[in-house]
Order: sequence, then structure tokens, then C-alpha cells
Amino acid sequence: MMRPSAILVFLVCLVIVPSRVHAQIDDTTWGITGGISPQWSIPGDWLAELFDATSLDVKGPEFRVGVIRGTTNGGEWGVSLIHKRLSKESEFEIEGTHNTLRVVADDAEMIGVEVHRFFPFARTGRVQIGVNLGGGIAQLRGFVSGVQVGPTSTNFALPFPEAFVVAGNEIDWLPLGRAELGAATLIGERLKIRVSGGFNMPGFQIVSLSFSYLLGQDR
Amino acid sequence: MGTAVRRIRASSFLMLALVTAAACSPGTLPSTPSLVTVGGGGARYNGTITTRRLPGGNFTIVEGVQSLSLSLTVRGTDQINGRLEAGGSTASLTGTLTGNLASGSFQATLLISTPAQQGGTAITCEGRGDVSGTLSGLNLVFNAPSVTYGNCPGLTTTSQGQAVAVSPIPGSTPNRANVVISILGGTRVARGTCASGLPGFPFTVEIAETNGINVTLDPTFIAEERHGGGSTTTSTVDMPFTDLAGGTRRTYDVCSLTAGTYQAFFTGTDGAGNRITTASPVVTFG
Repeated sequence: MMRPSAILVFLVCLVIVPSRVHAQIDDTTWGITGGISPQWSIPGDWLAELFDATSLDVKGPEFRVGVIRGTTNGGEWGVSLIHKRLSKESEFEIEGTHNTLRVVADDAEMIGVEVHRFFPFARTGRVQIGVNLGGGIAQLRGFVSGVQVGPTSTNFALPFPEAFVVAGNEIDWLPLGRAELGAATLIGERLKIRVSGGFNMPGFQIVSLSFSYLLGQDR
Repeated sequence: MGTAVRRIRASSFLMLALVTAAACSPGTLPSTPSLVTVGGGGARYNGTITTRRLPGGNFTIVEGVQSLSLSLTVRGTDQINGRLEAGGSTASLTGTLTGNLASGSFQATLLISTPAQQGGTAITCEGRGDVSGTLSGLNLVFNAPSVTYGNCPGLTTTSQGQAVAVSPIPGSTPNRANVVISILGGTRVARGTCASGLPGFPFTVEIAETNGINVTLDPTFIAEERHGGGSTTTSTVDMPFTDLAGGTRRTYDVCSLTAGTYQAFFTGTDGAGNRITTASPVVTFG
């Protein structure tokens, strides 16, 4: 897993390294995008109430791949397939009617679709500064362990959506949302690398690394 | 030529003799039915049950001798699960078997729904009692000395039944779910290690629907435990899953830190609207 400081150094190097002037794609064109967030997490008990949880410590990596439409010097919008895996250290507690269910992620994940748009509001050289906003929906998949602790403990292997049944909910789908501050740099004439961080429903991420590759004709 | 003819005649006589012998064997004669055998995975019994109401309460039920239909299934090596119908009563039977269905005995928990009357009003009383019985050849005899009905205060009955196996295939109830609770690995649990890493008595409870009808389990179930020779404690436990699709099975792991017994009681409603009540066998650990 790449440390945030290493990513920042990488970004700075990309900005300061001299590069040749290339032809640029100024017409709006299609492209491909991909990205990784080494770790998103839900800090503290933020959002705990949303899930009827008494405590929430959920984290994991995120992978994205999709298509975009945009220009090299402007912004972009796109549709991506999102895969958020919950690390095995992810835990949360659901208060039931009679017991507290401690849920541990065994093999849980969220797979969904998200639409995003990157709005650049400042530009210096080959670097764009902007915000990346997005929204979508993800399906809860995989399995968790639900443990009721006591002199006699019970351990239920549950499909992820059923983790919330003791609170009267079964959550199959979860909305996705994204509001990140980011910096994108142009490499060559088609490739943009963007480093961003911020809100990434259902949590926050310090750093996220994305690339966009435009497929259009050069001018 | 003559030799060949003689050989053909001899072969024909031999074939005729074989066919005749086969046709006359006891198992295939139309007037001699095959014997019903028990001792495998299950059996269906027909017989009678005699129910008496013990003094107390103001509920009335049909007493006396009634015809009985009982289907038993053996699960694992030492567990039985049964479904009983007598008059308007339906019941589940879950327990442990010593020996086999042809020669053995059983201890079980009876959960019964019985139609009753109180002051002219019809009500279904939900009863529970311990049952002991013996199995010998085709015969089954059982005794439930005290069945108490939680939702009908004061109503207590005693029942005795006897039945004869009529088929090695348990009967089916096409419009009613059959939820079977069993303990994987058997009802006697040896000391081991709990998932938490502490020494304890780990075992797995399996909840299976065997009749292809979906069941929605109630959001809680009852766990009865006894530890260290003390009294029985009853706790209501949240049920983390409530959907049990027809023909599927689900499990959960239990681990007790101390020796004792464990039994779980589940309720729910099947896709046909029938109320389902069932119990696990009594698990003994230590």
C-alpha cells in the first residue's frame, strides 16, 4: 500500500519535471479512467446512526474503472464501476432488541456504479486544481460474522445485507457519494493523473489516485 | 441335430423352472406384501394417542383416544425429528435417539398446537413437554407425562401413544413447511476452543427447511441453558436472520465457556401462513 507522503512526493515530481510540449485534445472526447484509494474509512461513529450501529469502524481499499468524457485542459465526467472491499479488521456493533451484535467483516464488499464530474477551478502549468463530485449506488455483497457475546456466545455467518436485521433493517443497496479536492497533472497529450482526497461515502479517504486517458484525435 | 434339439429343450425347461421359482418367491407373490423395515433414516407410523387433561384451568380440549400419524427422521447418528398429527393437533418432536429406529429409545421435546375452548371461544393452545419412548421392531410407544401450554394458563395434559410403522418413508405435508433443527456432529459436545480463543464447548446448530416452503423466522428465539448443575436460565436472543428459503439450511455456531446444556426454540411463519414452532435437541457439553 502506497503511503500518502510517497504519493505527494510523486505528484510534486510530476509537476516539476520538465516536459516537452505536446499536442492537446481540446475537443470533448471519450476516454477511460481508473483509480485506487488505498484506504477509505469511517472516522469515529460518524454515520453510525445511519446504520443503527452503536459503533462503526469500517475501512478498506477502493478500486474504480470506467469511461469518461472530457478534454485535456478542461474537466471531465464519467461513469465508473466501483469496488469497495471491507478489510477484515472492519467491525461495527448493531444494537438489537435484546442483544448487541458485533459484526466482523469476513469477506464483505460493495460493488456499484458511480457518476463523477471533475470541475477544475484553477490551473498552473500542466496542473489543474479542482473538485471531484460524484454519486451512485452500490450493492452490499459477501459475508460477515455476527457475534453475540455472553457466557454462551453465538456466531452467525451472515450475508452482508443481513448484518442489520437485528435492528429491523436489511440493507441491500447503499448510496455512494464523493466530494474530493484534487490536483490533476497532464502527462503527455492524453494521460491525466489526479490525486485527491476527501469525502467518499460511506467514509473519508486521505488520498485517492486516478488516471484518465483520452482516446480522441489530436488537433 | 437330435443333440441340438435335446439341448434346446433342456435349456427351455431350465428357464421355465427359474421363471416359476422367481414368480413364486415370497417377496413377489401378490398376496404377500413386502415387510416394512425400520432402522434406516426414517419411518412413518400410524397408531393412537390418548390425551388427558390434568386438573386446573378452564380450557377444554378433546380428550380420549385419537388416531395418530407420526413421521420420524433420523439426523446424524443420535438425533430424531418428528412431525405428529392427531385429531386437530399438530406437533413437532425433536430429541436424541439411543440405538436405532428398529431397536432403541428416545428422549425428545414435544411442541404441540392443540385446539381448545375457553368459555365457548376457540383458541389454539401452544404446549410443550418432554417425551420418552421406545422403539422395537415396527412398534413405537411414547409417553408425555406433562405438557404445559404457555398461552393457555392452567392447561396441562398427559399423553400416551403407540403406533406401528407403516412405511420406511416419512410422510410429507405438502402445504406446510418442515423446519428441522439439528446439531452438527452430535448432541454431546466435547471440550474444545471457542472462536474467541478461550477454552469452551463449541458446536454448530443447523436450521433446515425440508419441505420446499419458505419460512420467515420470528426476530427472536429462546435459548435455554443450564450450567454447573444450576437451574435453567431462559434468554431471548435476537435472530440475525429471518429468511429461511424452502429447501435450504442455515447454521450458527455456539460456544459455551462452562459445562452444561443448551436448547433453542424457534418460531416463525411459513409461506402458506402456518405458524411454525420447533426446537433443537438438548445439547449436553462437559
